[in-house]
Order: sequence, then C-alpha cells, then structure tokens
Amino acid sequence: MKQPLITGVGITDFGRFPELTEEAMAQAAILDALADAGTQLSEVQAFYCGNALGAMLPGQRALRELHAEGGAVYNVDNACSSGATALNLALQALKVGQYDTVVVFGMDHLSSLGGGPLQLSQKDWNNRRGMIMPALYAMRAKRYMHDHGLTLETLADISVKNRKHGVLNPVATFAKLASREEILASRPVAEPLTLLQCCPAVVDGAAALVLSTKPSRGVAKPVRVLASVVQSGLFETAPVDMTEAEITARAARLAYEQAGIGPQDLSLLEVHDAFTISELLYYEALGLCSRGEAASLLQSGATTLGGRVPVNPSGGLIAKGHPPGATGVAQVVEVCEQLQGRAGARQVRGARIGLTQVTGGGIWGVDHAACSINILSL
Amino acid sequence: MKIIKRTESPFRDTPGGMVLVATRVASQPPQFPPIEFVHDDQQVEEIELGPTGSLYSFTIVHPGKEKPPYGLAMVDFAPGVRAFGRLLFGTEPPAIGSRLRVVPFALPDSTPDYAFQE
Repeated sequence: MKQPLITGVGITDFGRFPELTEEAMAQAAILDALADAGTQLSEVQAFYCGNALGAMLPGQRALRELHAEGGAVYNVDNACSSGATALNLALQALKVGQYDTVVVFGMDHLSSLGGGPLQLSQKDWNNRRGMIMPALYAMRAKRYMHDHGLTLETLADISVKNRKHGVLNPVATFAKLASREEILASRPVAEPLTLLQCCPAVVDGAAALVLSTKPSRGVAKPVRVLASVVQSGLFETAPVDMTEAEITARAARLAYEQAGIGPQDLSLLEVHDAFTISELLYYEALGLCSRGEAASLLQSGATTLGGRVPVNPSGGLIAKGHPPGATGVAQVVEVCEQLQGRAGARQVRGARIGLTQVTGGGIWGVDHAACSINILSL
Repeated sequence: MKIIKRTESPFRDTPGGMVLVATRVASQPPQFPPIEFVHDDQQVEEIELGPTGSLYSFTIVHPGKEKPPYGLAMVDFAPGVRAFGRLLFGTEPPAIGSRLRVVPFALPDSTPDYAFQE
C-alpha cells in the first residue's frame, strides 16, 4: 500500500456570487490547490468531483476550460457528503497505485437555485408532506430539549460561537457576529430553530485538494490522512432515538480505529453544523462528551477557539456557508491549514490531529443517508 | 422480472377510527409508509397502526410571509413503527408524549391523505 499525502489545498471565497458559476469557482480552487502543491495540471492523472446540486457531468464542465488532458473524471454525488466521499475514493485509488497524483474538488452554486431551504425530491414520502431539512433537525432539537433539558439559549450559543470563529476566516464572506438575543429573535424557520441557527440558504463556493504518493513539492508540509471512512444510513422504521446521530457514532468508531487514536487525541474538528442542534449531537456522537453532556461541553468553552478542542474554527456551515458539494473538501482544507500553522487569526495553537465530519440526508426512512469522517495529521 | 406495484391505500377507516396501514415483508420489520413495489412472489402482510399513537417529536415550520405555518410530527405506534406526517393543532401544539389520533387530511394537490391530531 502506498501512502497518499495531501500536498496542496485551495479554496474560493464562500459567499453569494450570482455572477459566477460553479465551474468558474471550481477552476479557481483547483488552480489554487495546484499552485500550493507545486504541481502542474498535466501531472494530474484523475479528478474526483463532489457536486450535489449541479447538472450532469459537473467535473468535466469544471475542467473543460482548464484543458485537463482527458484523464479520468469521477463525479460523486452523496448529498452534503459528496466532496468527502470523493476524497475517500481518491485515497483508495492512490493507495493501490492506480494513480500517483490526483485532484479532489467539490463545488456548488446555490445562487443559481433561487434561495430557500435545499430543494428535496418531491417524490419522497416525507418531503411530499412538508418535510424540509431544517424541520428534521428541529424535531431532533425538540426531542433533545425534552430528554436532556437543553435550553434555547444554549442552542443559540452554538451560532454565537461559530460566528465568532467565522469572522476570523477571510473566505467566510457571509459571516457576521450575532448575539444570543439576536439569534433567538431572528425569524422562526422550524421551531425551535430560528433563521440565524441555520446555515445560510444561498452560499456558493468550491474547494480542492491535490493528493500524491510522490514526494511533496508543496508550499507547506504535506498532510497525512490517518483515517477516511464513508458510511450509509440504516433503513429504520421502528421508533429510534433521533438524538443519537447513530451513523456519525458508527463512522467515528471506524475512523478512530483506523487512525489508532481516540477523541481525546484531537486538536480540532470541523463538523456538519448545518443547524445549531447538529453540532451538539455530534459532540456526543464523536465522543467529545457523554450523552446529554453536549451543552455542558459547549458552555465550558472547550469547543471555542482557545479551548481544549475547538470545533469549527472555520466558522462551520453556519458562519461560512454550505455549498453541499464543496463542504466536505472545504473542511479538509481548513484542517490542513490548521495543522500547517497557516490559519491566521483563527489558528488553533499546537494543532496536531484534526477530524472532519459531514453527513448527507433528505430521504425518508434513513436518519442520515451518508456520513464521511476523515482524520488528518502532519 | 416480476415487479408488482401495490395500489392499496396507506390508510383506512375502521370502527375505532382512522388507521394507517403498514406492511411487513418476509422477515423484515414492519414499515410505514407501506412497501410500494413487491418483487417476485413476496408475501406482504398489512398491519394497522392506530387509531392513536404517541407523539415522539414535532416542529412548526414557518415557510415565510406568503404561506401559513404548519406542523410536522413523528408519531410512534404499536407494534413498533414510527410514522411521519402533518400535525394539526389549534392554538398550541400538543406536548411530546401526547396521544394523537390519525385524522383525514389532503396533500397540496388535493390527494386524500392523513395527519395527526390530539
């Protein structure tokens, strides 16, 4: 087995760019990553493209005007896990020696879709009856509040924290500070979630990675992938605990085993905080604390920049935004930059090991349809 | 290839009230919504859910200024099936754990459907 390294990373600004396209943004991220890796486009043997909401052949559309020489392009759709799943596939090909240098990129351009919650298939049983993604998480929040005494104020504090992180991130152009009171007073979306507790509905962005089994010529130290796991949701028709985040807990167990570490070894995490309640559920599923203790962990300051194990130093989905195809790759870009000590004002001091976690959902009967976890280190 | 599309309604009226109709195929657990397509000679057993179930969780969705809020609920029924649907309520939604009835409703395209109400 060969040892793939992340030798370069690239990311666009995340924000509203209606005058741009997802292809243009992906090209910018790819060129950025290639320059960071000291790699020429002609050296890249395959491209793995994560894209959830674009049309056919997203990878080829993005690569066309870069003149990518006709190598393999793999288009991956796993909803919000698309980009991270693309990375998992790329790692497999590199390890067995199918390729020695590849690019993984993710992109989505929500400005093209007109705004509002992510459009879910109206053929789906639940969606035909009014389900939207915020509502699913709102029901988790309601139940968690019932079971564990979580308060509205603590829910809002996730948004306060991630916004504080996000304004330190130059690519998070949408990030704005907000107080607990402002967050709770913003318009209700799906009770108990208010607008400022949901990731912004219209954000565009792209991110890219160069991976290689050859010695790195990159600007920064290369990053090792200690674990990369993709799991799918179970078809559950029985009464299950919706606050458990089972798929994330399962993927995390596999990832920790693969990496030979435990949650106590993590320096930072980038998790799928599409809604405030999500981050709290993932604290528990990822083993940062026991069941029912997520609020205490947040209030202790441990997950804030400067704390023991900062979560979402990039600002996360709430402050940075969530173009679904790009998110999984963008999380990896953030962790790489943190490990390499080039995260600027949001730098986690002494960062050694980082974890990314992203899910994907939107179909009935499957709590989360996909989950991807990566653990990275220098 | 033998694929049969089931056309049975996912709900029905009974003397005790409206019920949902789940299905169970072979050794699989019962499911609601009921299975839509049956393969080969699979045997499908129908299981009535209701007329009442326990409210597991709910939310009120606020779709914006142009549209009125609406309720959604996850409701647990014997023998161990969770069903999702619209939650109907007056001024205040019911509390988690409340007993809800299955009641008639209609989808936006006027197709007859079901909802839950205390």
